[in-house]
Amino acid sequence: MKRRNIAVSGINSGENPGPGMGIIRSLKESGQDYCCVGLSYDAMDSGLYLEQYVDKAFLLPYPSADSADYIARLLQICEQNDIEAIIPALDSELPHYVKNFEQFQQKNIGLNISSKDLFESMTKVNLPALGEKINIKVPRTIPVTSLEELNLALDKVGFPAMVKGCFYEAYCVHSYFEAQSFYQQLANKWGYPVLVQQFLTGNDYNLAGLAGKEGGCLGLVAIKKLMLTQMGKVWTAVTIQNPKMLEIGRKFIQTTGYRGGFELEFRMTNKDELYLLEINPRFPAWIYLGTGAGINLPFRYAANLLDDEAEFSSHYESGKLLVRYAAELIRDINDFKQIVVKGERA
Amino acid sequence: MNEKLKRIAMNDDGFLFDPETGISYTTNAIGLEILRKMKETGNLDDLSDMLQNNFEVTREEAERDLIDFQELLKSKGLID
Repeated sequence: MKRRNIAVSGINSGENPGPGMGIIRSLKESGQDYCCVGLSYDAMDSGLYLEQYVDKAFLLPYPSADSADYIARLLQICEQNDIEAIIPALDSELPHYVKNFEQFQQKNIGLNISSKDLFESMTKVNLPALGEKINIKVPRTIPVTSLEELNLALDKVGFPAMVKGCFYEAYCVHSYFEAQSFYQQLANKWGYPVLVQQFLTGNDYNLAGLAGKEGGCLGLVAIKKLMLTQMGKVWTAVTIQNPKMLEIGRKFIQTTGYRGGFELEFRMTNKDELYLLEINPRFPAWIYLGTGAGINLPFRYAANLLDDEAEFSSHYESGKLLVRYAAELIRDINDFKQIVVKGERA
Repeated sequence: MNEKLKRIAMNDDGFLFDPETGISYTTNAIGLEILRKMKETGNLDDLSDMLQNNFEVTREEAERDLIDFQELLKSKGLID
């Protein structure tokens, strides 16, 4: 089989790691010949310097920049490097990919992604309705747009409660005063509505999955989070075989017609009740654990898009442990200079 | 038998792992012996005899420890 050029984003691998390096490691260990092209936003992203995994790397304008500039630079990189498929891995860049899906198709660049409407139905605000459709409980969530509504919502869900930004960040609060302070902070940062959510005591679980370009489940793997970073990212986790979570994953794909990689976040209460907390429409940063347990979702993503032969078995081992570690890399300042000046390491 | 107890994996060092919830526990040699016996028979009957025969304890001690252990297992959802 000829060498395939695959572009992958989210190659930052610091204390708040993106999924990119796990995706690339999974592709490299699939036994296929992939040239992995890293897409980055910051000259300090560690993936830019990890030549053993990232064959070439390029800087892009930040996703918050002008959409036309962003896509023009991305397509230029794809054309110059004969990119056959892209695996976008960061939430902030997904709207660009959804909006310009047809452009990628016209240029024969494989991209497996869901529609804008489907993304909208999975947002935190719309999660309760989706939870009902796929038969999973969602913590009671009340969107609020004023301090008065915030106080009323807190009366309804009680303390402690979660106060969440509509896109990112969440804080556990124990008083009206604390809630009001975070409400202002979150509204300023992420806009309205701010969400007030019932607090649930229990253990946290995640499920990563992949739906094929024509739909249908191409693989699922569930984990229990064991240790998190201060930013809430998985640092240590173990694979589990939980029939209910796996069933919810299948139902999510089947009911919504989802396409591409995703992550479902769950909490199981001490009474063994399972709640869906969030859906992330991309692979998680812990995706390499799935590969280690026998479900290589990034490889399946690429193989499905490029019509390469692959076996999509659903079997994986429970009890496989992921332990992250921080490592140092020594490089010459000229490597940094080249990335800053040329915007690439080709 | 309790579903959790049925599926739990135990190794000889007393490390227990629930493959469905990812929750792990540790126990000592006596706890391990009790749990293995419970997995075999599905109940706590005759366990005080087994403890008396295998470990240096009186019948009263064995029965008291079994009650304590039973409460602990209940709190972890490992017996009903």
